[in-house]
Amino acid sequence: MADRNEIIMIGPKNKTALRESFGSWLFLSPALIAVLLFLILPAGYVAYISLFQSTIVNPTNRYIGLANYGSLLRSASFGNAMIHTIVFAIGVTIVVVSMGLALAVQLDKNLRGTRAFRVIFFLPYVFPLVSSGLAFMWLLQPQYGLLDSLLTRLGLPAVNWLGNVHTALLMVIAVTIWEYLGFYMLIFLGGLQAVDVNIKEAAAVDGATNRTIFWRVVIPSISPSLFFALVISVVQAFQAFDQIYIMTQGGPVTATTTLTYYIYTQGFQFFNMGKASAVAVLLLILLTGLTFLQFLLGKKWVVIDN
Amino acid sequence: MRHGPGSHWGSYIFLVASGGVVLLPILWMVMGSVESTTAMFTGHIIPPRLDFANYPHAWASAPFARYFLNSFGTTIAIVFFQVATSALAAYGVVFTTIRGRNVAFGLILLSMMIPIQAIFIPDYILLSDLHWINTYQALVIPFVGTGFGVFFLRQAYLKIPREMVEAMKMDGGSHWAIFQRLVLPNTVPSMITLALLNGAFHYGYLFWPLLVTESNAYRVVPVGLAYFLAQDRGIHWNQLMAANIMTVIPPIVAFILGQRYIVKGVLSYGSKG
Repeated sequence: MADRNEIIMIGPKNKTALRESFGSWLFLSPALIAVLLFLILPAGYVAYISLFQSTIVNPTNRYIGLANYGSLLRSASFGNAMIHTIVFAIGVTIVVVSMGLALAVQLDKNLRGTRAFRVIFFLPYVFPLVSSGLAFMWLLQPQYGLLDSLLTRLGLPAVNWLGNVHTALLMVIAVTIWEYLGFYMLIFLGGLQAVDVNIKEAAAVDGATNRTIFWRVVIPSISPSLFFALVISVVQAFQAFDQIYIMTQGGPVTATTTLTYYIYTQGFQFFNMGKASAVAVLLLILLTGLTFLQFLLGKKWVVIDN
Repeated sequence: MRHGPGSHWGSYIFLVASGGVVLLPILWMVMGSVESTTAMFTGHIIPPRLDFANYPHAWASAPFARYFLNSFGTTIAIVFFQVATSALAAYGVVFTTIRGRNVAFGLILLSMMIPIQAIFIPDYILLSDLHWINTYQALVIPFVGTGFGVFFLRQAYLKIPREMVEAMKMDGGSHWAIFQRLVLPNTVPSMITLALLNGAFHYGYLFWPLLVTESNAYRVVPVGLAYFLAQDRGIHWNQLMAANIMTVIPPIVAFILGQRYIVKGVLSYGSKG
């Protein structure tokens, strides 16, 4: 009887707990199932496909181990794509971080017209990348575009900016900078606005020049947003596709083929899903590595005082 | 404290010059959209005469009405699902006490590091096994969950005073009641920010819709523009620019209306690091 009593006493409590836990999982499960199904499990599956030789109808036709990776490392086209991606990432990151910070510093002064400038600089960010790409294509149109019109007026030869292997990647970098500059400017503005005014004033009282205050007080204080911006910008560069597809389709030849574009051509033009998946796995490793690096270094690098 | 231009000429020169460079492609696009085809190829810079006929011509030269309808419909659906799943999950992470919720949150955060560009092949295979290629489901369903959304709303939920939640629990309020009557009404600005940021992204997204649409019935505006360009290789730049301007107007309007939400949202990335 004692046992029975105990069971009766525990029973309802367990049932409430069970109901509570079931109810709680209902909150978590829609998002969890969605990301598991379309992001996390596919990340595992892409690694699996990368071990196979594919045919058009069957992506997992024949198991070949790491042969896809081996052939990638030996392939010049993959090496090229890697180099283009790195150039793209460095080019975009250097400009959006330095220019974004420079603009944010000016806007943080709270001058008259600040809000209007903020809107102008951020405006390109809401443009679809395809639209930004098209606008630049017209600007760079050989002969009749604005740039070439000006050049010919000055008596200089017109340049086929997107059709030339030496300038095409630069132009794709330019449109990407144009698109994202305002976004980074706002991130830095957020960082600058959070800097403690008292520390700046104390430094000024101690006789520090504006330049010293900027490098010794402001920069260390906003180091978290700087680091965040750096990583996001590189991650974004590794995923670039839309602007490349519309402007150059990876060309001329392969001058603007970056890693993501390379995966696309391998998978959806040559139907070599195995090889495309191997590149995707390398991309995943690179990106998760970078994000972990942000997490680890972010903690140490963030300087803020004692 | 606001300062006049007097002592800050250097700042203004820098801002005006940079602003000019940013506005230049937009101005050139607008000018191109009102030029006649013959005037376009004469190499002048200011159009001699305004020709607005490019707009109706562009609109008629491809099924843009359909593209826009598809874009609006899929973007609204994606954003609705994302806000809903993110709000629910953020509540689960912040206010419930079940075991495993941290693991669940960890998985959701992990998904933030996985770009669709790296896993689109399995996603494509899955959708094609479901016979979903060239359907609205293919455009919407892969995006109903977003790690960023959960992360972003969680930040807002952490600011809700715990005492208020506990008080509602004491009064016998269920999780659903707390979610609906306390959490949702107090985090509307964050939901609007999330909807606008992700909405702008999905409205403009080319990569995925390009892969999963095969007919005009399901194409969205970015894909439509890409096809327009491919069919008319460099002849009717005036019509292309007119179509382009029609494309950028909806996100610009959304940005102007929701400016304070977007700006506040992005500023917060910086202040939190």
